[in-house]
Amino acid sequence: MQEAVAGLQVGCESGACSVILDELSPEPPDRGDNTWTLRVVDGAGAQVVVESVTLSPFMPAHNHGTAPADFPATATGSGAWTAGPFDLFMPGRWEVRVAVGVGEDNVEHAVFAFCVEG
Amino acid sequence: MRPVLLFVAACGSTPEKGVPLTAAERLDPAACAGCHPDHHARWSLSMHAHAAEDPVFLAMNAYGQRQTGGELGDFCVQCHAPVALAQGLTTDGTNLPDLDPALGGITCAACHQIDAVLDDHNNATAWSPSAFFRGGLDAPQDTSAHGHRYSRLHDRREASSADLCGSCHDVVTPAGVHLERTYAEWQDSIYSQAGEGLQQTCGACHMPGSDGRAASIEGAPARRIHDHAMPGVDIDLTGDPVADLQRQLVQDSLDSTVFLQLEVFDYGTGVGVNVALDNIAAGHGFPSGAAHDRRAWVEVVARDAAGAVLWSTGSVGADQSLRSAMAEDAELWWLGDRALQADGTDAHMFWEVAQVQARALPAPSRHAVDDPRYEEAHQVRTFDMGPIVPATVEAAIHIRPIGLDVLDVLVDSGDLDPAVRDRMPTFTLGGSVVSWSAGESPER
Repeated sequence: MQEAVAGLQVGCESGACSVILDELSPEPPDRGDNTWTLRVVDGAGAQVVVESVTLSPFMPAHNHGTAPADFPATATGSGAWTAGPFDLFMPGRWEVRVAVGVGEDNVEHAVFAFCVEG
Repeated sequence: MRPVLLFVAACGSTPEKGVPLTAAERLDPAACAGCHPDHHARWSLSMHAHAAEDPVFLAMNAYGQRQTGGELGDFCVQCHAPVALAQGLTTDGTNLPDLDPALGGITCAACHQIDAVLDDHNNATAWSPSAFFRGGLDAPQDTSAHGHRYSRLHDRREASSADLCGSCHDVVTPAGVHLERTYAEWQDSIYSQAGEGLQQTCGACHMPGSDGRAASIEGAPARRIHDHAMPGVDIDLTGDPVADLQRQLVQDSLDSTVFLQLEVFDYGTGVGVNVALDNIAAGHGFPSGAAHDRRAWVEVVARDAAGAVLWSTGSVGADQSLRSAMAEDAELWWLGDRALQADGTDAHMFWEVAQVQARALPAPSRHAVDDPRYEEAHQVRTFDMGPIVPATVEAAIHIRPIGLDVLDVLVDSGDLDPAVRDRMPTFTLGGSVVSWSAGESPER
């Protein structure tokens, strides 16, 4: 499992794009409130035009997410999207599931997996 | 909370130069603050620090001792003031306000001098006030202030650390009623299970780690240390200003606890709403502990476009007890334990309780998905709002640590200052606040 740090790039499940974790606070992710800024690029590294980005933190071992479950990101310029704060309230393995709206009925998915230290 | 007197001589510039703590100092949290100021400061925010001075505890114990003709005995103080009890300074807690505060409450020594857990309730522990403190550090630095021993009971990475917490966080009344069941609830949850990524001990959630130093002594190594503020749901009601910070910690802890989903539907001749609750973050029931005294409930409010209320349930006034609201609101969905006397009527105080009916939201179950108990942590209720046309529907969960009706009994008995009732907060779980607007999907 890769450490979630700025610059980490995760491929979309379709292979059509990648999501880059541009900034995160705190870094690495920690218990409590976390805020992430993301960017979406294609296979050549070019920025993808994106209509929406939503982050959904989840703990697969326990089969629970957060309350609320979804955190819509706000476009913050130059292709960056910022979401949060979302509360990673437990130590352990978390996933941040990213849904990227790239067109009508076209949603790409990418997953950042990492551990939050106790 | 009395001022902290720093025992600088005990700490010294190096461990070797430290002066050994006396037996009396080893029982005094202020002495611990000399070398562990951060731990002490955070512990001071905890209800452990206030356990023997909490006005509701003192009032309930005083009232209970009178009502039972003293039969309660040391039932309350065995967990609320274990050091004072062990030192023979109190037998029933009614004299706690007259004792040295250093010996009241769940002090440093109360936990860190426990050698063994003997049973799973009512503080059945082996407590040995010696020169050795037990902790979860596997390579503690030598100090002449006191000795130290590694203890799995104090290591929040170990499942057995939950046994230590559970020894007081499960309570069986003198009548044999398993009244407080936080530890049992955790044991029945997925969080008690060994396995990859499953287990979360009490300390894992209530004592989050951070990088720091365990002691402010020269040469103390950088470590992963843990927070001793331990927020739950109770708050200090003594009027101490530190309660504001404690209250924020509790609020932060509660905000993520329950996931609420709202579904508004038209059934032809009216409108209904499904409210679904999932306990996602508490490793025990919601609410837990004194769940018979806690008051948690769901509020749902439908409004028209002008904001006028068309229909509501769970809209409890700030000064209104939940019980009185229930008398006016038959649909009110409350969470907690219903405590009953032997004749089946409601019990108002714990010594009257003959049985409890659990209505809390359980923690995620340890049982398999095909076991009916698996779904217990997910509860749904449907409300019929009738022939209305709502523009918005909003829902939220609220909780009062102790019900106002409980406090009213103690005020009426003359054991509780009415001002304490006014300090009782009502928390709204931030993550549970959900709204729906006509023509839109449910949103948060």
